[in-house]
Amino acid sequence: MQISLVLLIAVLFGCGFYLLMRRSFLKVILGLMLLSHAANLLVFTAAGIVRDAPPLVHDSMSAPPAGSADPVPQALVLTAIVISFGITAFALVLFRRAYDVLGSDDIDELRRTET
Amino acid sequence: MTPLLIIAPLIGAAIAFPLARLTGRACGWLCAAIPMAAFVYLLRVLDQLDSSTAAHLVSFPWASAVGLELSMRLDGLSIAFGLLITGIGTLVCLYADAYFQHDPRRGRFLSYLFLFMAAMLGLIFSDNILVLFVFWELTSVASYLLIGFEHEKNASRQAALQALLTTGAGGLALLVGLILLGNAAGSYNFTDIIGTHGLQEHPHYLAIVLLVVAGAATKSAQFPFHFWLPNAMAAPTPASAYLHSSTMVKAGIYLLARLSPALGDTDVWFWLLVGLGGATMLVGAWLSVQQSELKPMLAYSTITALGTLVLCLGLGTPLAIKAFKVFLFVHAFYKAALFMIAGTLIHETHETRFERLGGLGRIMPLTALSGLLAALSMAGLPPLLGFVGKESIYEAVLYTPVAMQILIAVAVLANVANVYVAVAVGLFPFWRSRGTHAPVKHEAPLGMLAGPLLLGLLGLSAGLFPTALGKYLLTPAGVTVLGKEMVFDLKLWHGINTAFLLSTITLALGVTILCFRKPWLRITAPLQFLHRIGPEAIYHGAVNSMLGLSRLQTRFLQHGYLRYYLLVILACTIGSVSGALHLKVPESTLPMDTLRLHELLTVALIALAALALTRVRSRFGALACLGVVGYGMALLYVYYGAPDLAKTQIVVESLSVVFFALLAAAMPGFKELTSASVRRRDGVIAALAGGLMGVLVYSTLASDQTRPIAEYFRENSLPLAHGRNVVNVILVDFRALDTLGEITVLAVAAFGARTLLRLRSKKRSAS
Repeated sequence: MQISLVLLIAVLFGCGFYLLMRRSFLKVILGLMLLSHAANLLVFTAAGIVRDAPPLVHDSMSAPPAGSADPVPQALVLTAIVISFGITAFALVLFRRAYDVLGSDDIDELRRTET
Repeated sequence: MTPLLIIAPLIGAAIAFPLARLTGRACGWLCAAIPMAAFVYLLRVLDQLDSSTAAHLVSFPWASAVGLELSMRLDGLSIAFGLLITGIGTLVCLYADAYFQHDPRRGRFLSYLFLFMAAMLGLIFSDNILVLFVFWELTSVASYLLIGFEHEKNASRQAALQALLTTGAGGLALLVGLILLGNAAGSYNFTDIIGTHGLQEHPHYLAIVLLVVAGAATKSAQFPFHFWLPNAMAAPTPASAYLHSSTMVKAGIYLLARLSPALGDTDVWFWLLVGLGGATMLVGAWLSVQQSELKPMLAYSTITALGTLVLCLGLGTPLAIKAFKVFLFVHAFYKAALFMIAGTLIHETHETRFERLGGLGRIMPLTALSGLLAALSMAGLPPLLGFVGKESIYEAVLYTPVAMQILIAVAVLANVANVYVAVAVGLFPFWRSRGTHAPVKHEAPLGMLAGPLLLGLLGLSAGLFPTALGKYLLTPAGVTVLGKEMVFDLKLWHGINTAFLLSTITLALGVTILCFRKPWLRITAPLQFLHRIGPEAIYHGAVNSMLGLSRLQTRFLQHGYLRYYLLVILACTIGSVSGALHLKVPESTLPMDTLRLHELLTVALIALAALALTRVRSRFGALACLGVVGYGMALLYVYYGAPDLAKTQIVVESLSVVFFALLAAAMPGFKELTSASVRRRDGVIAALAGGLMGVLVYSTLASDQTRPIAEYFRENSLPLAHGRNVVNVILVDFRALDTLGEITVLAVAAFGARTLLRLRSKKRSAS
C-alpha cells in the first residue's frame, strides 16, 4: 500500500509544480493547494503508516497500545493543514482584489499596479 | 589629552547643528574655538619635541587579539599637517559662518566640516596603517557630503559621486598596498615600518609602491586622476578652501611623505613620483591657463601644486625635502586665502568669471589687500614666503643629478601658470578700472575677511623672517621625512643666482600670457579635443558601461516572472539531486504489505482529480477537483489512524471550497494563455520534479525508521499532561508554543484578508 501512496505524492507534487508555472493567478493558487497536500502526505507517509491504530490511550492503560500510529507527524501535519488554509484564504482574497482592479487573471498583467 | 584632538571635532560635528539653531549669529565663532584649542595644543607639543623624543606616541588597545591598536603618533611631519588642518580649520569656521549668514543650512555645513576635520586629524595622527585607512575613507565620505552639499543640483550630485568613486577606487588599491606593506614589514605601525630596513629589496616592493602611490594619486588628484578636483568645486566655497586646496587633497602627499623613509631612495620611487608629479604639474598648468572661472582656475592650479609636492618627494634630496616643506606651507597659506577671496567675490557679485570683475579695490580695500598678499605669494615675489618657496623648488631642481633640463622646464611652466592664476584671481578684480558685474556696496563681513587677511599677513611675516619658520616648524618635519638630521636655514635673499634668473623669466612669461589672453586662447583652441579623449571621458565611459552591464544582468536574472524562476529552480534541483541519488541508491526495498481495494480506489481518485485539475477549463470544474483531492486526503487520514487529521482536513476543506466558490468560482473560465509547446515543456519538468519527490520518499521509507521522539510523547502523554489523545496533547501541551505561532499566522492572514476585502467593498460603494 505504501508504494501507491508514494506514487500519489509524486503525482500531487508534479501537478502542483505544473500549476505553479501557469500564467493564470488562480491556477498558481490551485498549485499552492496541491503542493500543501503533497507535502502533508509526504510527512505523514515518511514516518511509516499503520492501519486503524490511532495514538489514543485507552481506559486503564497508561500509554497507547504498541504498534499504534506515530503521533509526531500527525501533530506536524495538523499544524501544516491549518497554516496552509490561512495562506490559501489570503491568496484567494488577494487574487480577487487583483482581478477586480486589473480585470484579468494573467499574472503578466500584474506589472500594471498603478491603478 | 591627545585623543581629544580627534574626539573634540567629532563633538563639534554633533553639536554644530543644534548650536546653529540656538545661537544664530555666533555659532561659527563658538565652533571655531574647537580647532583653535587643538591648534594651540599642537603648538605646545611641537615645542616639547626635541631630537631625543622625535615623536610623541599614545596608544590604546582596540582589538588586541589581531594586533590592532588605536595608536597616535605626533611627530614633526604629522604636527606640521595638524597645524595646517586646525589653523586653517579655525579660519574656515569663521568664513563659513559669514558665508552662510542668512542660510538655514549653516549648522549642517559646520557639522560636515567638523566630521571632516575629525577624519583628517585621525588620518595624520594614526600610527597604525589600518586605522589610517579607516580615517582615509572617512575623509572621502565627508568630502562626498560637502561636494554634494547643494544636493538639489544634479551637477553637485554627479561631482560628489565622481570624487567618491575615484578616491574610493584608489582607496581599494591603497588597502591592498597597506596590507602588503604591513606583512612585508611585519608590523602595521608606522613606528616599526619606518624602522624596518631592507623593504626596498622585498619581493613585494614594486607592488606595494604601485598600490600605495595609486591610492595617494587618486586622493591628491594626480594625473590621470586629476579630473575630480575641478568638478569638486561644486562644493560651497568654504569647503573648497578647506578640503580641496589645503587639507584633504594633501592626504596622499602626507602618506607618501610618511612612507618615503621606508620605501624611498630607489629608482622605481624616483621615476614614478617624479614622472607623476611632473605630468601633473604640466597638465594642471596647461588647464589652469585655459580657464576663466575663478574656482576652477584655482582648482587646476591646486593640481599643479600637488604635482610639485609629489615631484619634490620623488627627488628626495635634502634640498627637495626642504622645498617640499616650505611649499607645503606656502601653498596652504595662499591657496586657502585665494579660495576665500574668490568665494567672497562670487558671493558679493554673483559673477564667476574673472574678466568680468573689476574696480573692487576701492569698495573692498581689505579684501583687496589680502588678495594682493596672497597673489604676490603665489606669483613668488619677494618679500613673501611664496618667493622663498619658489626659489627652493628651483634650487632643488637645479641640483638634481639627472634630467635637470626637463625638470627645470616643467618647474618654470608650472610657475608661469601660477603667476597667471595669481594675477587673474588676486589682483585683476581689484585693480582693474571696472567690471561688468552688479555693483557692490560694502566691504566683506569680518568673518570672511579674517581668514584671507591673516593668512596673507602670515605669508608676509614668514617671508620676512623665514629663519623662525624653518627652525621651529620645518626642521622637525623634514627630519621625519628624510629620516636623518638636517638643518633648515631659510633665507629670503640669496643674491642674484640661477634660481633668481628663472624667477624673473617666470614672472615675465606669466604676465605676458595674461596680457595676450584672447590671442592665446584662440591659438590653443584646436587642442580642446583633448578633453573628449582625456581621463574624464574614460571615467564616464566606465561608469556608463558598468550601469549598462548591471541593467543587462538584472534583466537576465531578475526578470520578475515566477514561472521562469520556478523552472530554473526545479531544473537545477532535478539535475543536482538526481545526480547525487544516482551515486547512492538505497540497497533495501520496501516490504510488501497488503493492498486493499477501497484504499487503492481513494488514491487513484485523488491522483485523477489532481491530474484533471491541471487540464480543467471551468472554475466549477476546478472546484470539484479540488474538493475530491481534499476529501480524499481526509479519507486517507481516516484509514491510517489519524482521526484528528481527518476532522481538521474536512473542516478546512469545506471552508476552502466555500471561499473558493465565493471568491473565484463565479468568474469566466480559464483562458488559454500559453502555447502547447510551453505547456509540454512545463509538463515534462513538473513530471520529472514530481518523480524525483517520489523517489526521495521511497528511499526515505526504505531506510531506517526508528522513532526516538515518538516514544517520549507516548509514554508521558497521560502521566504528565493527563490527556489520552497523544496528538492533541502534543499540540496543546508539549508543543503549545508552536500552536500559538500557528494561531498567530491565522490571525495575521485573517486581518490581511479582511483589509483587502474592505478595500474592495469601499471602492465598490464609491463607484
